[in-house]
Amino acid sequence: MGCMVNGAGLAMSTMDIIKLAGGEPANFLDVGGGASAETVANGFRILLSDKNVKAVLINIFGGIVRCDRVAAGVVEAAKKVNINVPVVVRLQGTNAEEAAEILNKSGLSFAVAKDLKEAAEKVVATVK
Amino acid sequence: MSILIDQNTRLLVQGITGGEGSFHTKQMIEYGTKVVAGVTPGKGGQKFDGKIPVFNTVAEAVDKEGANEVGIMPGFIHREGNVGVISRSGTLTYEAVYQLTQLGIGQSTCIGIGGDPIIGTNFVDALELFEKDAETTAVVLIGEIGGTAEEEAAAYVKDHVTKPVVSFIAGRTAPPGRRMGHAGAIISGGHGTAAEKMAALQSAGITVVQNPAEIGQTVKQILAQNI
Repeated sequence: MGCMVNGAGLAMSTMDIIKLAGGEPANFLDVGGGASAETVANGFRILLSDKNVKAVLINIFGGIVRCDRVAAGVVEAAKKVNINVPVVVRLQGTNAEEAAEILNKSGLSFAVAKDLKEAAEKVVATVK
Repeated sequence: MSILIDQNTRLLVQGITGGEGSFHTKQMIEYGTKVVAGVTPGKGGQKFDGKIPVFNTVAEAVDKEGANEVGIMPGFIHREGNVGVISRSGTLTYEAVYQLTQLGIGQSTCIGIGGDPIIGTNFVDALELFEKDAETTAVVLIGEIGGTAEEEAAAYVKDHVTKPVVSFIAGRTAPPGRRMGHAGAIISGGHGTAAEKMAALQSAGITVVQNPAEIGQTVKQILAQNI
């Protein structure tokens, strides 16, 4: 499972919970405090360049990072990068509601999760 | 009562004129924070939002306005209450706070101590303050791999803290020898592992949470047991 998370502690925890849910985390990727469309697209490229990655979990808790920007970035990235694995997106925090709207209106088939447990279970379920 | 800062704190924002700084400053002002000064080197003399003076250095701002500076947390996930939170992480703290708030459990004060190996306020400092704070009834301690801060906290709690402490340590799946984002988050020479820290905390009577999604739930159980 590829992970794209903001913040090192949350990124480590995301790897931990994927393992607890029965999956294998593929990487540690901290998008940091300024996630933009470009950063997210690059994140996807990095994750998808690993042949072992069978699914991607984006877990963003926005404080400095604004969830709507990440959502816009995810939508943009999906246009530029050929994403051929299931993606689960969990966005919470600053502008989370706007983010959900953006994702819902995008027509993308990404699964959306609200909390951490749901996010981990959903991503692990995609490869079972 | 919150420890360290409260509604009377006179706040200084570093980078107030930048894209991120201005966005978050506006949110802080809306929340009711007393933002009294900003700092952007080279922009001293300007006014943010027409009201808040901008200085070239922190020293100048503190000198002229008597301000303090803190970090960034999304306001709406927080709720007033009695659980103190101390953490080495930023966004993992939001996750823990969010879980608590969702369960109706409010926070007295949330302190992010940062992920560097050398820091200002540490776990022990914060624990001491929470132990003395009449409004704090329990403490959540969020740690991660690397260093010995959690082990030191455990030793302190054993001898000096009577309030229940719940802890989560991030990085059980972290590979040894790799720096995981934070400068201080690295398992080196076989030491600083999550397992070691969890064992030390447990032996001090601290409740250690295995799953990061269960931090809030565990605190709820502990609070119920301690009435």
